[in-house]
Formats: sequence, structure tokens, C-alpha cells
Amino acid sequence: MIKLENIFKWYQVGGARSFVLKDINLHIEQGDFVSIMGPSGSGKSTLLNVIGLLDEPNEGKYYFMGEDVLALKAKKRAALFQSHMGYVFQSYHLIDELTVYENIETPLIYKNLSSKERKAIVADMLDRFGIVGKKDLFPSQLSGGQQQIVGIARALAGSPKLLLADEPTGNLNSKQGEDIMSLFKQLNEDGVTIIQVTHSEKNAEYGRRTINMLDGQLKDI
Amino acid sequence: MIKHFFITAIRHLSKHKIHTLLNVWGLALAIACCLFIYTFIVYQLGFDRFHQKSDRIFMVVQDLKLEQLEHSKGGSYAMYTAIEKEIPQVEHVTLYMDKQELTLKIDNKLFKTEGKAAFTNATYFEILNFPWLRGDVQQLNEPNTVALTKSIAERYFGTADVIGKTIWVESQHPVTVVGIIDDSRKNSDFRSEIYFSLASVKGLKGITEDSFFNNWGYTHTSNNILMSLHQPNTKSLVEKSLHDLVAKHWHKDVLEYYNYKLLGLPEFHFDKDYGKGTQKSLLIILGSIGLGILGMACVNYINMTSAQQLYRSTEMGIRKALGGTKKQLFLQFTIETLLLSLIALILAWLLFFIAFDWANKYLFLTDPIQRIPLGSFLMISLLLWWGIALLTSIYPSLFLKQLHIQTGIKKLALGRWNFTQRTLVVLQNSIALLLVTGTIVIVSQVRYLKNTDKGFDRSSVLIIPIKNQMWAQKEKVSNLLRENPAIISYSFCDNPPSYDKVWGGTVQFDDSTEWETWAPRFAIGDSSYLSTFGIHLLAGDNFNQDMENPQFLINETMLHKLGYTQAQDIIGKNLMAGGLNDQHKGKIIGVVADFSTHSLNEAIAPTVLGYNETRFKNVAIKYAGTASSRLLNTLEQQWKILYPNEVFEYHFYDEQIANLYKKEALLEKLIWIAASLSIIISIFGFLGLISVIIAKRTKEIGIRKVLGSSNVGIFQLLAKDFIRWILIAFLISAPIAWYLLSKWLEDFTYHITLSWWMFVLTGIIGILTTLLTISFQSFKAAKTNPVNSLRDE
Repeated sequence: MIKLENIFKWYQVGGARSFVLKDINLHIEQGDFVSIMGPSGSGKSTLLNVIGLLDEPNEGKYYFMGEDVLALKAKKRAALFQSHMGYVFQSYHLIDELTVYENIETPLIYKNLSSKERKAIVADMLDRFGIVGKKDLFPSQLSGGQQQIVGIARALAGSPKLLLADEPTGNLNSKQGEDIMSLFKQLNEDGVTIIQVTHSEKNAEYGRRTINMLDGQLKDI
Repeated sequence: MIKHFFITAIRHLSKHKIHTLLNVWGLALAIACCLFIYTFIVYQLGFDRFHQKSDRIFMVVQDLKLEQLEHSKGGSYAMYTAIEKEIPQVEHVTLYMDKQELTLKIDNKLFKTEGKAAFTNATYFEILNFPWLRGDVQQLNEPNTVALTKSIAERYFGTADVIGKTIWVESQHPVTVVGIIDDSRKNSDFRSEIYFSLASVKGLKGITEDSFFNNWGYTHTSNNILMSLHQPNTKSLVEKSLHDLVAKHWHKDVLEYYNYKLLGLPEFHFDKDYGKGTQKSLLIILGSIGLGILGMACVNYINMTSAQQLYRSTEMGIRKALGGTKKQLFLQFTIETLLLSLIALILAWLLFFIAFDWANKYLFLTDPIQRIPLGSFLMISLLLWWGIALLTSIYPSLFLKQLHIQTGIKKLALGRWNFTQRTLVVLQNSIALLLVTGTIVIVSQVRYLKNTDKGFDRSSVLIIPIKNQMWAQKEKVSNLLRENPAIISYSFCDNPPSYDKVWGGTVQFDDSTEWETWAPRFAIGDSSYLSTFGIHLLAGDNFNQDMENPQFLINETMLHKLGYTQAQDIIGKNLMAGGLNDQHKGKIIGVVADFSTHSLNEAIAPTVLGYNETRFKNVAIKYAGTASSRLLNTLEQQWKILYPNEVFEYHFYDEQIANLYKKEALLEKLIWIAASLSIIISIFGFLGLISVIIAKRTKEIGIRKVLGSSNVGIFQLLAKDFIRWILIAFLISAPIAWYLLSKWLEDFTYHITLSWWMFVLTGIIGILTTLLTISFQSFKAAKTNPVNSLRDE
């Protein structure tokens, strides 16, 4: 599903290059659940962003479902992103001005789905994550765990094949974190490919395999 | 999708209430200001352009060829009848004698016509488009008939259904109402409220001599000869025919002195020589001010939006991460802008209607402006709305273009205070400061004009107009004024010093039989004129009014104009003053210090003081101290006994002088309002900015406090930028203001000089306003406990 070949990413600092990603080669199959681990600054978030098309490498090849993503035009890349990927953030990043319902609806609006289709999908999501009763609340009225569930629901609304999660439990207490992780496991069993960045060994264990990073390089696979 | 954007926009606007309020009110004020100025300009430009034949309607004007051309309008009755009979290119011609002062009696109530009456005939209504609502126009050709506008009929009778009713003119002549006229159109310089038939002018005006009707020289500026031509391009042909008529019926020598011309009716409103002289520059100034203020409000909006990046960049980053395209995000911004400016527009309509009524009541007084048709009002509103939306969405679109999802989400894309934005703020405040300096200077100049007496004393003087019919009682008036102990001095006269209508004519000096090629002005009064108005006699004696050979006083300018330097040398010389006394040669008996006969917009002219009872129109009364109200009471009662059929009318002399400067006073008030608006809008801008800047620097403020900065230190830190902007704005505005205002002042014959305090005052006002504006929020920020602001989320 994902194939990264010789991915480099660097920042120009003075005359020298400071590498964030250094010669990354990675292969991820459909249905996998990958945890990326490593200390702060090791480049794991950047790697996730490159995979999620939120960031571009300076060098290298990236194939997503057989397509050379970096060669695509911006518009097509956006379409690819819209139809195949969902993103979950550490600090949830719900839109404060929108209700739970509307937050989940937003990516569907950007996909130009009709209001009838949107209604059906959002209702399905609310039901699936057990937050029907909260649909008219605003993010500030929810606990962190609840917000993250909404964040996941929003990421899954577009029925993506790939779910990217950047420290999804980083701002949650352990009980909430466990709930989220078992939710991920459940999703993966239902067929969603998941890549998560995490600090915690415990969380990493929910995945099928773990990738360790240090100083922008993969340590072992 | 649109609905979703609307919901977001509304929620966003209500979340940032303060910014929204500042933006909405700022834009609303600016839009209302623009709508108002637009209405004013359209109204002024539309004067006399609505007549169907407006391109071929003309009026007769003339130039008297002296050293300087003397311009005037109006003609004589004889000229009017000759044009009607003898010039075939003329389709219709009428005599329209406007600004008539008569006293009307209706159901035993007395009304002054206050210059709203005119004499004319049915042809007037063929030329100009003032539709009749009731009655037959042709009846206005009959004697003793009158047509009223709907408004004045309602004022006089309480109803417009008054055909056949009787109005008594001067309590002697009954006239019948034969028509009601639609007066919904007000922007004409040639409209009256009360139209008496021209056929009754002899009786109603008490004209005794036939010369009014036969003599070509019997001209008057309010005897307008209006005509419509079959073809507008025959204008010069008609002008030539007019000269021929003058040579044929009057005298060919007249043409050596006079040049007759036709002036297009719509040009009259802006014509400086013959017409009303409404300054087009005033309209341009107002237009620029309107656009400037609108620009300021837009700058506020742009600045606040861009400063809000702090809050918005995260949201935009998320939206991009959720798959929103640039187009979709831009649409969201645009809808937000459209919504906000729509709210502002609706608020502006409300403000406009309030301001409109207020302005007609207090600002334009005698010349109320009219609303423009609803269609064009909506058009201009729509144009403003979209214009603002377009202008204010430029910035967000640039912002979106630059925004990277990553930096966005991480709040790295904090509003960058780049060069453009700083420039915008500085520019905005330059406009405000320019208007402030303008206000200071214009107010000083108008005050100077209104309060400066050149060579006379205005204090404690009352002017009471006396009409022709009232002179029979002159002796009685004189007696009761003499007996009143509160009255120091009184003078029957035509024109007090500083008057709007001043007569003049050429003179023969000494033994010369040639008329001079220049015409001095006349100050016509009795021998108490000097004492009543406090004019200084420099040499010789005051004139004696009862001499058969008249005695004259002249002013210093006249002395010099005649080639003398010593007053003594000219005393005793002969003077024939044409128009002042045509029968007898007189003598110069004294010289007075220069005093202004006109408004201070004109230089002091050579002036002859003399006596001519037939031209008297007023009695001026100098009273003691401040007992004016008791004096007025007494006079009113005495007047009622003397003149039971007259309304007691009086003016305070100083107010009458101030009235000469209506145009300047209007400009003064308008610039006041404009400056206040611009200050309010820049205060709004600063309020918005300071809140954003504080939000952005919260952490910095916290760190500085931890490092030991005092509250005052924090305040200084925050105020420093604002003061710097204001100072730069001041440096930009000061030379521009100096240039523009010295240009403006140059147009005045007498004017103040620009001085440094006007600019210093501007600077002080700017800095004080700024400090006051930012102080509340800054001190609040300075007092915040750093523990709260430094806590990491």
C-alpha cells in the first residue's frame, strides 16, 4: 500500500543541512497496524506527515497504492488525500465553533457529498462511537477522551483506507488512552490500515509491528 | 456547503464579539458616511437638470464693462416683452420675479413670505417641470391669482384642497388660489412656494411708475428672464438678437457698457459670476473624505482579520488537513466578509436615515437635501457592499496562499506584522490627522471671518426691516425710538456694513464730466449711520442728510483710488454719484476709515456714504448693554400698534453677519463631522489591534514580568509601537495638511495665518487619543499574573 524509497528531508541551517529524515525506506501493507516510536525530535511526526501528504520530502520516492504521489499535481494529491486518508491529532484539533455533528460533517462537505449522504454517514458515525447524545455539544463541553473520539470519528467519516494518528493518546489519562487504543485495534480488525506515532511502549503493543526511529533514521524493521 | 459556511461565519463572528463589533460599527459608520456624501453630491449635481428641456433652457445675464467686469443676472420687464414678441428662435419666455417679501393674511393670521414668493405667468410652467396637482395653469395669466405648492398650502390652510380660497396681500389685495403645485422636487434654484400672477404685480407690489414696464433700464437681479429655445445651438444667435433689441428699443450706447449673455439654467448652481457659486471643489473634497473614511474602515477590517491569524491559522490548518481546498477555504472567508459587511450595511442604512433627518434639521437648515431615488440608493449600497467585500478579502486570500498546514496547526503562522500592514495603519492615521488639522484650521478661519469687524462695531445692534408701505409712519417710528432710553442711536439705512446685497455705481469726480471706469460701492443711510455702526470719521464732518445738494463721505480706499493721499485735500471736491443721487451733484465732506461693506470674502472696495431715502430698507438700532429682550418686547408692542397688518421681524446684527458665511460654516460643520468619524474609526482600529497584540505577546509580557519589569514598563512596551505609528503618521500628514490648507486659505481675501500650534495641537490630540484608547487593555495585560500566562497547555 505504501512504499517509501530513499526519503530525505532536511532544513537549511546556516550553510549546513540539518536532516530530519535520512534515507527512509519503508513498506507498509494494507491492513497493517504500525506504531512508530522514538525519542522527541527523532523525526517520527515528520515521517507521519510525509506519509499523510501534509508535508513533502526533499528527496525520494513515495508510492501510495501504486501511484507516484510526489509526481501528482496538487489537486490530484488533495483528492487522493480526501478519499483515502484520515488524520487524528494529539490535541484533537476539533473546530471550536462547530458542534460534534458539524465537526464530523466537515470533511464530507469538502468532498462535495450531498446533504442526504452526509446525514447518513454522520448518523452512522455517531452511532458507531456511541456519541449520539453529544451531537449538539461544542468541543469545549466535552472531556479530552470524548473529544478524541470525535476526532477519530471525524477522521473515519470519509471512510479512509489509512488512518494516521499523531500521539492520539498523548493528552489523555491512562483510562481514556486505553479506550482509544482498543478502539484502534477494533478498527484495524475491521480492515483499516493504521499508522500511529507514540511514545508509549504500552500503546505500541496494540499494533502489529513497531518501527523505531532515531535521529531521522529507521533503526530496524 | 454554503449553509455550513454561514453557520461557521455566524459562530465565528459571535465568538470574537469585540472584533466583530468594532468591525461592524467601523464599516457601518464609513458606509453611512459614504451614502450621505453620495446623496449630497448627487443632489447638488442634479440642480435644475430634471426639467425635460433642461439642455435648452437659458436665463439672461449681463456684464457691465468697467475696469473689472461686473456680473449680474436679471433684466427688465420691457426686455422680457420684447424677447417674447421679436425673437423667433425663442420657444417660450417668462419673467420670473423671485425672492419677494410680502405679508399675507389668511383667515386673519399674518404670514411673511420670507422670500418664498414670486411673480410669474403660466409660461414659467411650460419651461420648467413643476407639475400642477390641481387647477388650470392658464388661470395664472389672470390678475389677482396665486398658485401654491402643496407644502405651503398645507402650512397656511392645513389642507391642500384650497382652490378658490382667498389670500389677502398686505391686507389690501385679495387674490384667489387657482392651483396647487407638486413640490416633491426641491433641487432647483428657480422654484418658489407662492406664485402670484405676473398680471397682478402692479397692484400687489404697489408699483406706481410706468417705467417699470416700459423702461429697459429698470432691471433687478431677482427679475429673472427665463426662456426655452427651439434649438439649443441657436444660443449665440439669440444673444445677438438680444443686443439688436437693446440697440433698437433702448440705446446703442448701452452696448458699450453692457454685454448680454445667455446662461444655461443647470450651470447656474455652480456658476461663480452670476449664479449661486456652489463650489464643485467642496463636492470633490467631500467625495475624497468619504472614500478616505471608507478606506480607513477597510484597513481596520483587514488589519483585524490578519491579526486574527493567531486564532484562525490553527482552524485553517485543520480544515486543510480535513481535505478543504484553497477555493473552499477562500469561499468561507468571503462569506464571512460578505456577511459582516451586510450587517454593517444594514446598520449603515439606519445611521444614514437618522443622520439624514438630523442634517436637514440642523446642518443644511435653509437648503435641505433630498433623498435619491430608491433604485440608485440600492445600487450604490450594493456597490459599496461588494466593493468592501472584495477589498477586505484580498488579505485573507494572500494569507491562505502562504499558509502551510503544518505551521498552521502548530500556531507558528502567527500574524506577521509585515511592512504592508504597518504602512496601512500609518496611512490610516495620516488621514485622520489630516482631517484633525483641517478641522482646527477651518474652524479658526470661519471663526475669524464671522467675528472680525473691519472698521465697524457690530455689538448690541438690532436690524429691523421696513417695507415700502411702512415708510408713511417713519416719523412715528423715529419718535418712539428717540424716546426709548435703552436706545443709544438708530439709523434708517439700506445696507449696514458687512451685508450681502450692496449697491454701487460709477461717479464723476471733481469738475470732470466723464464717468469713472470703476464703480465704488454705496453705503446708504442717514446721518446717524456712523454713530450707530461705530465708523470712524478721519477728517471733515459727518454729512447732513437734508441738503438739496447731497453731501458724501468716502472711505480711505476711495481717497487713494482717486489719487489723493491727504484727506484734507479732497474735502470740498464735487462728486456725482450715479444711482445714489442722480439729480444733483454733491460734495465730498469727509473721509472715514475703511470698513467692509461686503463679507470678508471680498476686499474692501472704494465706498461712498450718502443719503437716499428711497432705497432705505432697514432701521438699525444700537442699544445699551444687554437689555435686548426687554427692548424687543417694547418694540414689538409698539410695532403692533403702528402696523397692525405686519409681522414684527428683527435680526441681531451679529447673527446677520454670521449668516454671510453660510457656505464656510457648512464646510466647518462637515469637516468637524468627518474628523470625528475618522477619529472614531481609528480608535476602533487601535482597540482591535491592541487586543490582538496583547494576545500575541502574552507570553512575552509574562516573561518580562518574571524578569522584573514593572506594570508601567509593560505599558510603555505596548504603547511604544502605537506612539511610533502616530508620530510617523503625523510626520506624513503635517506637510500635506500645510500644503492643502494654505492653498485653501489663499482663496480668502482675509485669512488667518497657519501657525505651529495648530500642528502641535493635532499631534497632542493624536497621541492622547491613542494612549487613552490602548490604556485600559494594556494595563489589564500588564497586571496579569505571569503564572497564568506562562502556564503551558
